Amino acid sequence: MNRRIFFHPERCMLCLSCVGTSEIRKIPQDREPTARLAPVLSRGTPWVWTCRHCTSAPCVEACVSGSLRQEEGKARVIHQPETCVGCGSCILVCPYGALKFDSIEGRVSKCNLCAGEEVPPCVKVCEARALVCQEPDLFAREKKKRYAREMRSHRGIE
Amino acid sequence: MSRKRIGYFENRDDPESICSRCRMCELICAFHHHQVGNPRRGRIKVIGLGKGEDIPVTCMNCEDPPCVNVCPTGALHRAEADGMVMVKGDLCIGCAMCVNVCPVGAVTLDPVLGMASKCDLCQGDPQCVLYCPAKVLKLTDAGQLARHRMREFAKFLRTADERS
Amino acid sequence: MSPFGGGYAGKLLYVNLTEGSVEKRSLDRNLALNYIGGRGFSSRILFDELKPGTDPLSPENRLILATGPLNGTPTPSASRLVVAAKSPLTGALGDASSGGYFAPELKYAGFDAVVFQGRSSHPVYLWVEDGKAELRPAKRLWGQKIHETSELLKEEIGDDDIHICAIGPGGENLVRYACIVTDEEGAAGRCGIGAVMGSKNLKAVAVRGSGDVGIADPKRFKEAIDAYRQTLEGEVWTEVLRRLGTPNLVAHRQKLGIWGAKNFQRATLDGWEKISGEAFREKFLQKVLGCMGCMVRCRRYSAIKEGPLAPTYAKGPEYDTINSLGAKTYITDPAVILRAHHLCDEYGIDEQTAGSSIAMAMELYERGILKKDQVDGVELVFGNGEALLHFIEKIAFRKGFGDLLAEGTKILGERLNASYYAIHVKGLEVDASDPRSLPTRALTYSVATRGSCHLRGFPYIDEFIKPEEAKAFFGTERVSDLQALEGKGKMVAWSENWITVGNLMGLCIFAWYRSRSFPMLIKRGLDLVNEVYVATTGLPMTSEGLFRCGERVYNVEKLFNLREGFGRESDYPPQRFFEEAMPDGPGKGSKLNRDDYDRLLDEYYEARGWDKVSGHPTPRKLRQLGLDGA
Repeated sequence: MNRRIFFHPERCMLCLSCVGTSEIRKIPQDREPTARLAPVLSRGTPWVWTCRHCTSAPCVEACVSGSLRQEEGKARVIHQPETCVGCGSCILVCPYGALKFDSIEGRVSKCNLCAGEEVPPCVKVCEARALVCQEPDLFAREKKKRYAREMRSHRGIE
Repeated sequence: MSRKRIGYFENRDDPESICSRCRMCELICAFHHHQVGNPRRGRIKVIGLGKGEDIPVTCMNCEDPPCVNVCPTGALHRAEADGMVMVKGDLCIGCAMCVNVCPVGAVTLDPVLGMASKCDLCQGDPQCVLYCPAKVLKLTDAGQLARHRMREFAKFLRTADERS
Repeated sequence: MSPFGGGYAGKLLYVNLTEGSVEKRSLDRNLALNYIGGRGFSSRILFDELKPGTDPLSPENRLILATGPLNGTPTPSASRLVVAAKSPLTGALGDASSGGYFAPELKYAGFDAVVFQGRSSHPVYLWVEDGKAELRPAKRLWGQKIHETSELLKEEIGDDDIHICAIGPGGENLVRYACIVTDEEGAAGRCGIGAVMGSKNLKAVAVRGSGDVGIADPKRFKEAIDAYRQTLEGEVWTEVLRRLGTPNLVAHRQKLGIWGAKNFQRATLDGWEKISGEAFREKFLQKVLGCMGCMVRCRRYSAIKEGPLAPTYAKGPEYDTINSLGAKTYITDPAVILRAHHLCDEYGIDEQTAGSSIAMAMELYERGILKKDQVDGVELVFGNGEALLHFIEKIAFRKGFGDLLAEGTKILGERLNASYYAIHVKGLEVDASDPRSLPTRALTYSVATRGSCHLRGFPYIDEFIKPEEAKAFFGTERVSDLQALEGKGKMVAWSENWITVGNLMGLCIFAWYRSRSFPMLIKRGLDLVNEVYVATTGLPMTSEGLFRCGERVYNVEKLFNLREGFGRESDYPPQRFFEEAMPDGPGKGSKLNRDDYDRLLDEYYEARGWDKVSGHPTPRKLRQLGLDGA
């Protein structure tokens, strides 16, 4: 199964290295002054919002110019800036605010999960390993494992 | 009101009443929901911890479910007030936030459909319970699970002298 | 688009290790319909692709991992993987099987079988995932034992939810009976398939799959498996196997007095209670284990937590463990047996041949044929547990006397001019039991196509078949008489075809074949399995058709062996069974009679439609099975 970005809030130190990397990093055919990651703090708990690359992405459905599409094999939702007309429909439907309007370019920008990289730089730079890029199955399984250790009825007995 | 879930009840004094890692629960779950053989599409998973420790893990049917709270479309929902958390397939956008927030990793994305996938108690007749050869899976609730652990701990206390 | 409605993945993976290339081929529908899968695929491919006289340790040998159409479905106990090659131990067709989870996972990854040829220039492992496969360097893994190999692989791949077939130092050092171990637990033990893998510089195959195994008619499938499960629930063998595992047979062997103890010098075992199924359960059993989808759960998970051999954690023991490492070597310390078993699994050598070889050496030592300085200065007498543990390691690394032991009993006998004491058929050591008091078993072991094997046929039919059933099925009531020989040739031939069906499907025969009722062998073994097969694959098949596939596969195996020079004379039990009588126990005084055996073999060949002199399937039989081109 294809990898997605997942977040472990208990590990995050809000150092914002992820944001810095995403902002500074240049992609050849595009300038991106707008960060693709949005950290927030909610009642003391941090969360770094990213594009979720949804399987049935609302932004893909809403896009009038066909600039947003599911990649072959549904690995990621890709945005093609060249054909984007900047109507903003995708921004309206995205539950996570993952698409941002670039007023200089007159079009939208979003995380493309850094195609071509083994590991997206925002994940690589995260010292706390709060941001991970994993298959959903593997991500869930690690939590199952932690829980299973607690589940052992004789925990600590042996 | 006792919110139901699938619970794992092992009896460590009986070698046949401990999860034997046969994974029939995974197989029959996937078959029941998708009519195929593919344990990764099952909503229960046997976690191997090594040294012969195997624990089946599935949805705990939380009182205040993070998956329901975070779902942007309402796909993760509870049909009845005391019922199991369910996935409404046609509302799910496959964003995997439920996967991210579930404390035990019970919600996953189905590898074929890309939709949220979790235990639904099989309309009240859970197949994993029916097919488990060790009979260690039961349709239960938090209270029963707690009492089971109390009993196990009491046994442990009783035999503490032998161990010291 | 798969031509199969379900069951089959529809793809075979061909790996050329010399070129480092990987190729996907479609599974031919006719191959599926005529050979079903598992041992059917591996035997047919070996027959088609190997030239007679091929050196088993050369690049030209094939190594095949084969699954059956039911692997990956919720069919009870559809867990078995078949591994096959031309055997370096026997020079005949070789195969072994293992339960666990590897075969289903290979199906989820989208493949029915993997065929390796050639030899890699450097150690590699094959990584198979969801329709793709690639060879990766295994330099870090080479030299590691099985557990460490698995840990390193899981770390490298970044996921512990993968399934692994691996060889240990035994396979790397080309021990003639090195084995392949699946998921650190189940050894595909016999015939030295692990040595073939080692000779190709292939350290492991790791697989992860998230694809579906299709089921053509889910409603019919569920009814079929529920009916199947019901027959297992009522089966007394299910209970016995769950409670004690295969070690339940220890009591049975002692009762009938059919141990091959002390290298077949004794038929009863003093101190057998210390290594019985009950003893192992009481002392070491932590819990029972089940292979994929199994409701029997005959595997043991055992631990030694105290004493000099602690800590030892192992899946096992099996009956064959206790027989080979205990009875043959006359060791009745269960901790030693369990530890020896664990070492065999960690080093990746077949415990049955290892135990047999060491036992033979013990007899030679006690007879003065082997001297102390030839056996590394060890007091190699029966009952010496330390010697057993010592030589298992030496065998794996071919050190000292271990180098000769690593060749197996046949070569041990040839080198020491002591072939009389090598108890094997076609080079594969006699396991299971001493057949001198039960000639039908001698026939079963001796005609088995991979060498002496008790699993190729089902000779126990005469223990429970009713006279009227015997008359109806085999033409004579005498088949129901345990001591009689009439009709037994026919019975063995029938049982071989029948039991092969289980091996074709990917089913564990321990769940599928056990019964005390002959009609149940047909009902569950053919009718219900066919129902599951048709519901799964959507292919047209009948019970008779399945049985015919079993017969076809068996004949292909026979053709392979004939081509390699194994004629009628290779279908005979060891000379010792004709010359020496059982020395003790209920069968005291029994030995095989040459004329009786000849008649049995004649009847068997006739029942099979094979020429009496050469053992070759007659043209008529070949036509009947569609093998006239072969």
